[in-house]
Amino acid sequence: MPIEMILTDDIATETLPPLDVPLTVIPLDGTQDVQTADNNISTYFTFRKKEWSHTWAYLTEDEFNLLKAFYDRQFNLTILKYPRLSIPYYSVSNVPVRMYLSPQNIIDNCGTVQNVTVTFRESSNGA
Amino acid sequence: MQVTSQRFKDLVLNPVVPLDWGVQVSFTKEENPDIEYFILDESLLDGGDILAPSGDDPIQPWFTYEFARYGGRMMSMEWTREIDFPYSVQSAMADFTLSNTDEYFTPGGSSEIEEFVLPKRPVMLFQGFQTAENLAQFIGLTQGMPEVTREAASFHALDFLSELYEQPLTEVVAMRDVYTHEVLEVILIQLGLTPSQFNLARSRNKIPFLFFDKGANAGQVLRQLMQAEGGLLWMDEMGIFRFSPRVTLNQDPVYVLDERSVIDMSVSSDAQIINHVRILSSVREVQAFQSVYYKTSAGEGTDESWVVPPTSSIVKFLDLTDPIYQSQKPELGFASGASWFTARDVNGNPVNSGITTEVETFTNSYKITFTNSNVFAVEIDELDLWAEPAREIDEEGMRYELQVDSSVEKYGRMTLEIDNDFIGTPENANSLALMILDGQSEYSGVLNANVRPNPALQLNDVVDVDYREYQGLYKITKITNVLRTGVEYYQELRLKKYTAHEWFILSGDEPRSLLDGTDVLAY
Repeated sequence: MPIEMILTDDIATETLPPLDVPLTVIPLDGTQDVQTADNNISTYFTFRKKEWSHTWAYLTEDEFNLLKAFYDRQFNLTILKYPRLSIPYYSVSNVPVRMYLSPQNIIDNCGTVQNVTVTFRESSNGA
Repeated sequence: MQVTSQRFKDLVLNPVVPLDWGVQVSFTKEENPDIEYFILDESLLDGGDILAPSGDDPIQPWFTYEFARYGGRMMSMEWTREIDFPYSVQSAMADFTLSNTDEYFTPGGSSEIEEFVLPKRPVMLFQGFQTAENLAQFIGLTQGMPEVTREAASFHALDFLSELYEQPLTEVVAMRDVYTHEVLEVILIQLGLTPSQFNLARSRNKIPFLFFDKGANAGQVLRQLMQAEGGLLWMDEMGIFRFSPRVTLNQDPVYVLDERSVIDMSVSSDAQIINHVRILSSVREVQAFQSVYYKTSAGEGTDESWVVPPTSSIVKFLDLTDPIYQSQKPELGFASGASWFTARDVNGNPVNSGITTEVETFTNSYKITFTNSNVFAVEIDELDLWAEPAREIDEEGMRYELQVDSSVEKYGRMTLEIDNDFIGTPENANSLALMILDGQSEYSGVLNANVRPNPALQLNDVVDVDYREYQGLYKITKITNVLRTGVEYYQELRLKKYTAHEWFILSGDEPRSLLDGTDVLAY
């Protein structure tokens, strides 16, 4: 099964362009280690979250615009919600994510964009 | 120590600990619809229904509010409980910050609670562990408006006991030969609490006489009472007001602080040596009914200040030499061995009807309102007020001193002076001084400990310290907890040396104490 990323928000559900490698998954664990007098470590944790990051070497103008539309709708005043990310291969399903998008580096007259990095930081859409 | 599950106990010292917390606030102060109030002839006595609050007292009905949960927004919370020496009252405060990225708490915003983000909102904080329980840590009221930014709303809260200290007494309190816990009960009920909201142990200090004016500050009153008792008054994590007396049964340690649980420990710079106690107290005793104020007639003349216009009233304050326990309201017409007053018209003719009185007692004065329902002016001519005055039996008052010679030799004289009229007897003074000196006359009595947090620990818990040079039993006198979801999580304890005594048993079941043995007379 190929690794696919699917984004959903109140307007649309889209499968992102086929992924290159690498796909980076960063654990964001809210932890604190304390060392007691017996020289042992203990760990307290409050949350476990993830961050997914991927870079496409090149995207067409349409592919980039698809990403950009989701990015912009985070800040749409009638939506004001994070998009939801699904990666079925890793059993990630509809996780609200703060979406970050790298600058639009256009390299030809067709609108091709080079080195597009998208980052999804797991979050929530309300208390 | 709060009662917890075995799972909770296991997690306290587990290598990996999943933290949990709860923040509940009643912004709207709406009543919880599930609360069932006591209905006469329908509810069971001592059943589950509660008495309806009688007014808009912010303290009484906190448990009737509907609380909303804001744990998902919690960014940080910090709560501290502390014993206030030497007044022996505890206070608790909390600061917590909630996420406000959606401007939920922003005044003028569009959230449903926006108009209710006001001071004095009831709040409850909980903390515990995932897969185990969350324990109540703090119940109180927010103070002032929150500090609101686009990212966060920060709240400061004090417990209800602190709130109670700000309240004025609503009635005069005059009592004789009364124990501290009996006075506390009267005051707490007067301030709007129901008996289900407090748990008062029997006190040691018996006060020969006390008097508090209506309007007196409850905080000052309670502090004086607690200082004289040397006991403890606090509001527990569940919101129940509790009192324990000067001497309680020996406490067993509830928790061990050793190298597995201690991160750091040091002698506190707060350590306060007291090796000499001086107690000053006036001692009053209630006397038999007698005349405590007499107004003579103006004779041929007229004292305008005592003239009551037709169908009108005047208020007079009578200066008293001593506070009074009980009084008789003066009635019109001479009487023997009782309070009375006479009146006359402008021509000097006696007036025998149409004048009534209302009275109110203060510490050193007596307020009388004369109401004249006659259509002519009257002058209050003579007045004799009878009451039970509480006289000082020794004009210089009681002066009691006690010191620990060995400590004075080592550190010099370090004096604590207590000027408190509710100590009453030399026996009480001796007992109180012994208790203070027992815990304060030597250094190394107070430790600061940074420990692996245990949310079940409570003030006054005795812990067994087994950490390097610090050994023995200590009592927790301050707890500070900090939890930031980012993550920062710690607990700091202030510990005071605890000496368990074998109390002298005069008689009763075997074994009894030996004279000149090691058992200690109770304070």
